[in-house]
Amino acid sequence: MIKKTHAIIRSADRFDAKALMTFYFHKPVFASLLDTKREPLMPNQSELEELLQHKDALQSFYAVENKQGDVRGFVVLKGINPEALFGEMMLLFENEIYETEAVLIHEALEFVETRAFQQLHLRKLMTTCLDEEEDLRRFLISNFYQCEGVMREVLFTCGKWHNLETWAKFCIITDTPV
Amino acid sequence: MSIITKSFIRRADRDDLDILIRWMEDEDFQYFLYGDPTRSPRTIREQIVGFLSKNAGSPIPASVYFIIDSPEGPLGMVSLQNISWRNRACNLDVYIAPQHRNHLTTGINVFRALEYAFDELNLHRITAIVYAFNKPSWKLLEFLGAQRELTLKDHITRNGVWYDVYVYGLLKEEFHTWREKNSEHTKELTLHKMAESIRSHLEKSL
Repeated sequence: MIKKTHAIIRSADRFDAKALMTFYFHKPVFASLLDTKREPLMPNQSELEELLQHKDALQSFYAVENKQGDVRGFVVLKGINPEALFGEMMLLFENEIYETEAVLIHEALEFVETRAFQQLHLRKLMTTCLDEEEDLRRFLISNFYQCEGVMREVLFTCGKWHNLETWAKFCIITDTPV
Repeated sequence: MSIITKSFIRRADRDDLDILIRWMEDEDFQYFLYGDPTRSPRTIREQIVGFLSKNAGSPIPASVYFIIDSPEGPLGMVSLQNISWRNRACNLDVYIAPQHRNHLTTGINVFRALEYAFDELNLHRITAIVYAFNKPSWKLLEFLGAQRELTLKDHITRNGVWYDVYVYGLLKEEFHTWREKNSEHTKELTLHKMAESIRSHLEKSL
């Protein structure tokens, strides 16, 4: 468990399944919750419990709590490519958190960047953002993420096509390729 | 001017296993497509058997593997992978054996695979991931109307050098516009013409 100034960041466990499930009901979906075919998933609570108690999840899936102990979101570091030294980050926070408790997201980002760049020695951290995730986009820009492009009409949901942006940030000190 | 070719595409089957293994062991295959040099021959074989068995004639396949064939034997393969029926999208991969690398043959058969994807499977979008150093491939995609949508900076390493990776997207209406614009050159190369020609050969052989 990491105690930051405002946030408590800990490995997510099966008791967080209900909190995680609320994010799957968000419309339009979160880009972070799309699968490899960019299809939205609809897991049930027992599937999420199973996912969260898997040992890989324990090392990559983190719940972000405020000081009152309420889970306000999740941060995930996954898809680590040991050869090309990049990883994928998921920031799962409802829009209202960007307005009312943005400091929690800042501390979660700081945590995941430290883990990626300093502990795992990755060079690049990537994330995706759907065209309607405006708060996430603004947050990424303000934290020096660069847009690597937009895949057009890649997801069909809520009766229309959606574009998917890819954002990335490089570690300032770059390593020699493996 | 219309172009004529003897090459054609057909569904890959288990008889293609040996040649597919030979291709996948080609250094270029790993360099340009699936660059994991640590894979054992057994892993490669298992992967091929896996995708051939997935290639059943299902009306909603998860992937479609075509062999680019000719009277002289197979030239390469083109595949539509990770088909999402919800998003009507898939990924395109192409491999041509070293001795048969010819822009025209490749272009014609990729064009036919795109026709299959858009006109038969009714897909909406094709994605192709190409390494920046594989210029012939991304030039071909651009020629066929695909747009470079992502440039993933320094995304892979080959022989100790970092390279960008390009992600191309081609939408159904863009492909149809391209085909209409180039109909004079492509009219004898379509999937429809190819199927007619195969049928006529089969009838003659009865």
